[in-house]
Amino acid sequence: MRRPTRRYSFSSLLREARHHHRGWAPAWRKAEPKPSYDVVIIGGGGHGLATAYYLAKLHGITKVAVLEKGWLGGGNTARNTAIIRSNYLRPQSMALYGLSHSLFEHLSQELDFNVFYSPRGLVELAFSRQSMDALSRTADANRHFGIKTWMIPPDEVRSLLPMLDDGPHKRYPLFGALYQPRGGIARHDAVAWAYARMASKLGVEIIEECDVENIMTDGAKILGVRTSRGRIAAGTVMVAAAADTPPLVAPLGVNLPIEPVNLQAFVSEPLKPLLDVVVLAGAVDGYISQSDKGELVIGGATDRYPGYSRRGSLPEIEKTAASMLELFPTLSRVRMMRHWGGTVDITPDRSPILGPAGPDGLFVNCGWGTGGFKAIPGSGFSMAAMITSGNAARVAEPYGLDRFAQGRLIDESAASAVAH
Amino acid sequence: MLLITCPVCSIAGDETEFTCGGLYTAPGDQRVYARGISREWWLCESGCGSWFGLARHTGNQRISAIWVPGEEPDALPGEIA
Repeated sequence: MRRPTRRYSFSSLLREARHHHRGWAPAWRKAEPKPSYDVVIIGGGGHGLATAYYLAKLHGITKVAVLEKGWLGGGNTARNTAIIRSNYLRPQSMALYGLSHSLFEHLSQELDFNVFYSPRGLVELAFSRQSMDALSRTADANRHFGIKTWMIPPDEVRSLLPMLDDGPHKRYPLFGALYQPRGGIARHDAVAWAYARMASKLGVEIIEECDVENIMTDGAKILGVRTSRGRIAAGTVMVAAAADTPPLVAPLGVNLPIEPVNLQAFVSEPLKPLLDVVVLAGAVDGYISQSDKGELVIGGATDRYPGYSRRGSLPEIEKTAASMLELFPTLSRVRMMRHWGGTVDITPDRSPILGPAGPDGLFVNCGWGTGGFKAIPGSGFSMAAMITSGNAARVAEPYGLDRFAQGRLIDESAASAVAH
Repeated sequence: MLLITCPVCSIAGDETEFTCGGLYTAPGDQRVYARGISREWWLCESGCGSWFGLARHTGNQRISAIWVPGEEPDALPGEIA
């Protein structure tokens, strides 16, 4: 009887090929809930799993449970367009997303799992002088913080995007673009699976199909959680459940200023390589990239009313498709293959809420809105440090809930690719 | 997709003909959106320009009531308190 193969390498691939790939060990253990843990993380998406991994890896805290009501990475981690960039305007955002971007650079090696990180370059198109001014400010701020972005003229944009139609008949004349050469995409499922696998290897327990009904407290400090699979005691609980975070913490007196809104995206049939950069176009409310499989991944603006539905709506599909065809008329005969919606958790300043909240031992990691995927490594790294040391994280500290009461908003509404 | 009929001018259309104005709350009310039936303000943007009330389930998007301000319905089954 052979031992299951756990390590991913060229030699293990060869060995398993000889045995018809029947010897691979499951990527993570399916754990049963224990009566108590040091830390319970509610939400088995990228942010929860990354926090669990860094708690175990960097801080030696392995008595950690990640509770997921569905399946791993089945929420917003699976419902985004997987774009990675750090070209934000505010210093706090550049620190957080810059950290995350730098961690993405070596994530596959660190987690021994190919997350298909592809830094193919990212262009944010400017179709007006105002847009050029705004993006130029971002480029200047990025340069100051060591994030490599710069403005490129229309000719250079055309050489990067030969299929872009910006002729004289167009509604929007092309003025230039903000270019981030290390911007790109990754495989979203692989990021969740990679963190889950390595966290599980370090001793973290990942418990799927475990719905948290409420968080237990004695009024001053956290006691644990009550779940669909029984009670679990823990002195520290972090909630990373996106738009489901506010209803979980509201009974504890924590009011999170978060609005749930549906965001839709869709993919085309696979095509031969035709788009080797990520394109963001705020003027037409759309963004597009081509996956490694050849599918065009297209996203637009959020729905214009709040909700938890995760459903498509024809007006948004039509509007987003029209946006893309305005930029790339050659795509007019491309067939769309599938389409999905995700519930994004939007805060008043379009920045996340990270840190302690309410009773002692409660932490929240939510409010990522439309920018959560790219922040997964940085968020996990920072939250693990914050949970352990109580400060950490200079990077995460400005994102506390108290900023709304104190007026320390980190207004990144203009940094979104589209109007959210 | 939402299909809405304005209770003032009776024009009917999808969500693009109207604008959601947020929760139907009094000034200073700190309530936020939750899963369930919520009362909201909507504007008849492409029609008469009037504001009206609408009760919508934020999970399945079903609309259970539409009214002119001042004629609010009583508590609806499944409505968030």
